[in-house]
Amino acid sequence: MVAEKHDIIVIGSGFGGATTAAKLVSAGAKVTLLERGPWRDTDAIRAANISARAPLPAGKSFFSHALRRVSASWLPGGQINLHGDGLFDLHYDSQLSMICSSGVGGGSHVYSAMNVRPAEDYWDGHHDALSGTTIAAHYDWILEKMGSRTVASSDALVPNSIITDSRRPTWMNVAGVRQPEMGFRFARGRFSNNSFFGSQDNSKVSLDERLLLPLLERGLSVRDRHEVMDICQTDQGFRLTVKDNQHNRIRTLLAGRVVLAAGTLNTLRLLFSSRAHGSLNGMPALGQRIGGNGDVPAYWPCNETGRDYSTGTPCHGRFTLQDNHTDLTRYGLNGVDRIPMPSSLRARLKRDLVLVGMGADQGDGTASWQGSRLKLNYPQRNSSVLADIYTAFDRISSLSGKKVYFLRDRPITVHPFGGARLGQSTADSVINACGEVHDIPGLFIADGSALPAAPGVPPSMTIAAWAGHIAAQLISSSPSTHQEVA
Amino acid sequence: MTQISLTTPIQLSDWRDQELADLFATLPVGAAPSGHLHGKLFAVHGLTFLPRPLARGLYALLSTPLNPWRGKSFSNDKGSNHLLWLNGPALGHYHISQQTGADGQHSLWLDYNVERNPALLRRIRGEARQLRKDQWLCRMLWQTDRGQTTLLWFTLQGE
Repeated sequence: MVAEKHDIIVIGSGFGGATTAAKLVSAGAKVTLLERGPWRDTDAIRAANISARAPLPAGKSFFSHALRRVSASWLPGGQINLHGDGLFDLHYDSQLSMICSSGVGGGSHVYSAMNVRPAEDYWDGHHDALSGTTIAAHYDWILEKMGSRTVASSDALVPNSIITDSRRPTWMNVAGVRQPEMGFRFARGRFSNNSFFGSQDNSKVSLDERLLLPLLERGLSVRDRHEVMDICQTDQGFRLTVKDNQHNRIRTLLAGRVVLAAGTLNTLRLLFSSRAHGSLNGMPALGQRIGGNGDVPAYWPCNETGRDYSTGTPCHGRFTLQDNHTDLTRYGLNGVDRIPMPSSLRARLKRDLVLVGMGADQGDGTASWQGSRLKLNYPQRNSSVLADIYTAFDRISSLSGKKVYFLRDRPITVHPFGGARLGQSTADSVINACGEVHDIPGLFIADGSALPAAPGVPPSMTIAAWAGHIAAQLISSSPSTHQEVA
Repeated sequence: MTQISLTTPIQLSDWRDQELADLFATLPVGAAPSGHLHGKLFAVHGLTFLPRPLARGLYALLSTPLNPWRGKSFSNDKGSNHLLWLNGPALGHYHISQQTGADGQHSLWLDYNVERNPALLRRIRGEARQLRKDQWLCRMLWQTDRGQTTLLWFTLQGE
């Protein structure tokens, strides 16, 4: 038996992994991408004749395929695995809970398609060799790839956009609020059922069909349902222990270089677990300075007579209050048509809204490894961002006369960041300006765990831009690839 | 010297023969063991059809006193198996050398074809590579005229 050897293994196929893989393969590198979840059964994947597809959670598959894993300290063994092809992971922690997704394409299936850049100075001051100028071109690249643009008043086909909604309350301010670009195929005019549970018809652009499928012909190897259990440093690079859930087999893979892009939650789990087993050493700053990007989701049962908010784009747009400048975003319950439920409940949900507050929190939480489980400490009392969002939601309740429901003092985020941060030295960070772990040469981190601060906006473009930067560093350091970046 | 580490949080007793062979092929021959080492066996030939949880339970039983084999001892180019306790009665002696293994890479080779052994044991061969500091992954082979067959896998762990 000869061991499988790979030049570069990318772990994860979300905005970090897919971008890294796409740029590396385009430059001629040999890349193997490991994804713990399956290819999702969408029109584009079916048309590409990929046979091993798993359904998005809809119809009769909703209850079986919505959840993959729930982890909480009070569960037996710390977690329950519900379905290997489930879409969401829920990590419950009393101080900060996290939700992430699995499947080829990662978070692009479940995000609201808001493609937003952070503040202009976001990248400044974190490392001498890095600035906003260094990263800017990588934002341009991913925004173009996702077909991103803002909704215009002339987009008559887009119902329920805040900027085109003539019936929005007078206290809801959109003047001067920068609306997000969205990665959506607007011209199709199909807006329903294209949001948090995936986009069966690919009206919402996702990474699997947009970035990865075209590269299969160029040599990209995508191994779906392959979950990495351990990363071990060796003389020649890395030895990965991988559960191949498609063939119910444990595999051992060798790689010269590894790009870890499993998403903040799973990247931290993998780094902590590998270090606990002695497979990786060092990383003294691992787990430091995590945050939730100020996420506060809320349910607003506004019950607007005659409205159907589920037929809009995944995101309706951003707004503030006339007397409060907290950045808020509005969503309809897009996808509700495909969830089995009584018709009366469905009709009601279509008239209600989801609100999300978001902002650049202080990111001063910590993650640690306790009993084979990630333990999060997130001192939210220090967060003025969360307090401002709570105040804004209370104000909406007061102005509308309809209570906004949210988990006060129990933050839950879909945008965790940090824990394996970019920085100057091993003492205060995990990775350098090239994305490489300070004290583990050849191991790169290309997801939200690497971000040096909270973007304060949906981080997908920032993660992709960071991954593009890492790919550029790998390409420039490898003689076998040619420069084709940004 | 390779920085050798425990390879996986998945218990090796969960692994199938071919999965262990894949892992084994990635390991270095490493340092030669010395002294007495605790043994733990799993992936027995003929039992790989068992579901993983059942196999795990069976191999856990084989780590109890129900199985008299406790481990091996190494001294220069010779070694023995020990029963009942780690310094217990010796049975099955072998000569130690470094050779090319079945996968074409270097292994520590345990050759039971020595005069002290009963004829039946002389057909046994052992192959060991270092998994991490003070731990070796090994396979027991049965030598026939037509070649070698893997009988089982085991780890050796220093005290």
